[in-house]
Amino acid sequence: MKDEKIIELFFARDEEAIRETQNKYGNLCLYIAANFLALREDREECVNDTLLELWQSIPPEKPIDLRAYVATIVRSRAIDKSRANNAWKRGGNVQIVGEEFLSMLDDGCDLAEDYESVRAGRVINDYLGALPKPERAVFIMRYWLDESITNISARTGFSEGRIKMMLMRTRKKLEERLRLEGITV
Amino acid sequence: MKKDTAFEDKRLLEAINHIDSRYISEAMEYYGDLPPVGGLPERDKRVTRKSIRYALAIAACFLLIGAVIPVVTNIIQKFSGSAGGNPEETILSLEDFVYDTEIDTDHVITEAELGAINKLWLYEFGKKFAETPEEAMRRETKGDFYFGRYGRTFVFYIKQFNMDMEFRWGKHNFVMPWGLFFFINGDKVYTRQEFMVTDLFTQEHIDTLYDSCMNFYPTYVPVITLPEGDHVLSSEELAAMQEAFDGSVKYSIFASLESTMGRKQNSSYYFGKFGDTVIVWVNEVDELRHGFEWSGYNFDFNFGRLYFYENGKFYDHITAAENNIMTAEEIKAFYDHYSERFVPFNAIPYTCLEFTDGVEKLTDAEMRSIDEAYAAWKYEQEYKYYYEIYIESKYTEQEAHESADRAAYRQLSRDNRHFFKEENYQTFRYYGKKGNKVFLVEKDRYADWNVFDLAGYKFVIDGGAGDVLVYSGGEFTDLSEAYEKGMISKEDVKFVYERHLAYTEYFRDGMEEIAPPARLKIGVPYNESPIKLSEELQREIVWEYIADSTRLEEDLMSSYAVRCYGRSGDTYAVMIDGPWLYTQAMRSEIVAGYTFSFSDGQQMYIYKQGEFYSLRKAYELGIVTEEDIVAIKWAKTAPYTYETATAPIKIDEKEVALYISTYAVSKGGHKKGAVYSMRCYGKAERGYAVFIDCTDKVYAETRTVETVCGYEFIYPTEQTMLFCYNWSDTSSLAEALENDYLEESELKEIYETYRAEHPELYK
Repeated sequence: MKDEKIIELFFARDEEAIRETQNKYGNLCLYIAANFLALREDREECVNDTLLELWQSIPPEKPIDLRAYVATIVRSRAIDKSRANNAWKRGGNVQIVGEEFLSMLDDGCDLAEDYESVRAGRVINDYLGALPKPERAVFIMRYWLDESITNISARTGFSEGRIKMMLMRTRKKLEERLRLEGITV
Repeated sequence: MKKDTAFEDKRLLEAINHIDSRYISEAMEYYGDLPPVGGLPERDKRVTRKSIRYALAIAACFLLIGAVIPVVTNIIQKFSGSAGGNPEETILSLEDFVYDTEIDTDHVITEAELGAINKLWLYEFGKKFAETPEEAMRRETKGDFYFGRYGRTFVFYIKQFNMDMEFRWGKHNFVMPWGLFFFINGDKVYTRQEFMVTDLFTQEHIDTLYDSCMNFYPTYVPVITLPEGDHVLSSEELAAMQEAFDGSVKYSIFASLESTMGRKQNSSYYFGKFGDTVIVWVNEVDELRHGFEWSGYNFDFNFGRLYFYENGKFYDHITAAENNIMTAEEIKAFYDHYSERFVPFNAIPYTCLEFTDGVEKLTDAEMRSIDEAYAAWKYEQEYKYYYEIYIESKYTEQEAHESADRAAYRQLSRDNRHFFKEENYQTFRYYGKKGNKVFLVEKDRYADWNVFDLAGYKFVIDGGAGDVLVYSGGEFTDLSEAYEKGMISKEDVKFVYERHLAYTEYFRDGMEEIAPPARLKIGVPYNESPIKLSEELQREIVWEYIADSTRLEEDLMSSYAVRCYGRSGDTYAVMIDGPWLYTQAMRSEIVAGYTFSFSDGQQMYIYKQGEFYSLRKAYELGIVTEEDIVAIKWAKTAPYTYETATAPIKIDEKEVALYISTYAVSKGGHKKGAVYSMRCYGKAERGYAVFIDCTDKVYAETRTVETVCGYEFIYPTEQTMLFCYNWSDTSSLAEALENDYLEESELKEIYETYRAEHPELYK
């Protein structure tokens, strides 16, 4: 079923929308969740959460690209689940030292620190916009979808060596761009 | 990990969440029809459908509640007379409030309004905007500023450095010293750029906000000084230019008189008004060098864009000439200004070359020629790189050529790779010239050490310096390649070698010898490797790690080594030694409750089938078990020499090793020849009370008294007792008690044991 029809079903509050989304994007959701979650049960729960969020958000949201919309939600839910799992495993009093340090960046920082992330996001988008499509897609697959080099190679047809070179170049140039914009990393 | 260090920063990880959905959608195109992942069994599918029905039922309940509450709230508000009066009401949206006045620059934010603002801010940024209304309404000198309420829009200005803001809105040129505007209206937080394209503000709103801004920072008055005779633009002229300007919303060089008539190095230059034509030059990164001839005069701009404005229209230098917008006299006046005032003003500062003493300086013409050749050379490299990518992406040759040309041009201009742009750090280290050959080192802050033999001379190029190049006849060639092709002689190589030695002399003390230090050989890592890996396997691991095949030459490979602390099948726990790989300070990682401390910034990885995982991720993914973690931890203690026996209370040998290794690292790492030992005076349920001794550490013989919960511990030296817990952590007795790792009853036992062992201290 086409995305437009599925969205119409959401707007009509027809449960068929959930089933059609599951049929069309269920595998994609599980695939993306698998990049962040090791346990099958967690991935399935993540997909269920995604379907629920879709039902709650459409309407009023009317995604221009349903696939990207679904991918964004499932990725976000997977990351949340992964973080929650880590918190549980760490226990009450034990903190990951690295995250404790990173959280110190938040404590006591004024609101401008949060805007760094938003501003950095704009710079990243601006930078990505200037990249050729293949490079941009590889970047997204690696850093947004958390795909392995091997999987990216299988998806795009580029050799693994080529992908590594592309990622290294984009990282270098992005770091330089962020530095020029006054965003410390 | 070197490959992804740029994205271990939390802010960048957060920033990636803001990636444009168009780019995500584009990447999704590669994910067509995915095969089933694991395949849900029939039973589970029934569970899933049931779960969905359950979830939908809950969603329906929330929807129902969500629909009822605003209605009830509205009714209550209407009966109560005004919105926001009762701070205990639940307000869902700023749209629910009713105000008597349209604009109130001193509107006092209520608790209810703050609740709505915080809700939106939490959604957008993950935290509250303010804890109290007073905090939300802060008006700090040179800080955050609350501008009040405009209709249902609350306007805030948040301090943000390096954000000079000049923009035009309505008929006003806003000039703000720093920061970001945020407009909170209804159910959204808008940035200035997003808000300006809505119709939520009338001209009256803009006028009022503008007046408030001027009062906010009245001392920020742009100062414009032009030489006598230069035309000073009026506000009306500027307004007309702004209206005619067809630029993006977020960037307007004609936002204010100050920015338009500025004369700033590497920014913009106002030439003035010639007849009816206003001419401005702006440094824009997308525009490279352009030279042109106009009416017999030669103009040459290294980069940037020329704007010609006349009678409501903008022209570039081509259309200005085609449309004859200027008379011959006006063109001459423009040229005179350009040659006499602009060229010297915009002269490229030749200060970024690092001349070594006694080295003959290059002339301006020579440096300009190198600059042009370098830009062209880099363009060719970029073009080749992108061309191959597009060919691999199944573009036709013509398409690949055109796309690569565009990408290379854009990349080059964005890099702003000009030889003499000091602020871009794109400088060369200049080693001199011989005849028509110039010898340079292209600086690359990301470059690793480079070690190579050439003509009997061993070059050790320090990290941060890049390739050694020969410039001759308008072309750049790598030094080794130039020698192999016979472009340079052995004498030339010696010439460069000696210049390099002279240049690096001042920091050569940090290098053990000119040749790579003996440790930098594959198979001989910085510290002992409990498990020896074959050279072949080490090369494989280094290859995967460095991810830069062009640098993995034989000589460079010899600079890296791999230590192994655990092996199971094709899974290895490794640490990779090599030059210039690590820049972090000491760091720690807790995995399954065990602390791994790395004193020199290196990290341990689990390597499996070409992929690297941090210890924690590998454990979470099930690649390694807790037993593996313990074994790795145990193996990592190998460098530390310690006594296993403890007295008067015995501790398990492995625990001794674990605590000593963590303690030793926390105190500055392993000291060659030092021997550690532990003395234990109490075994609590969650740890041990110990002294950790080291033959390398001598404590001052100062009688020290530590009172913990009324128990007086008297020590003969400044060394105090520690409490070890969680298999690898140490703290003082007082901290352990405070953090509930130690009970008071256990402390009492420790005290009694210690006192019994050292009665002489308590006489």
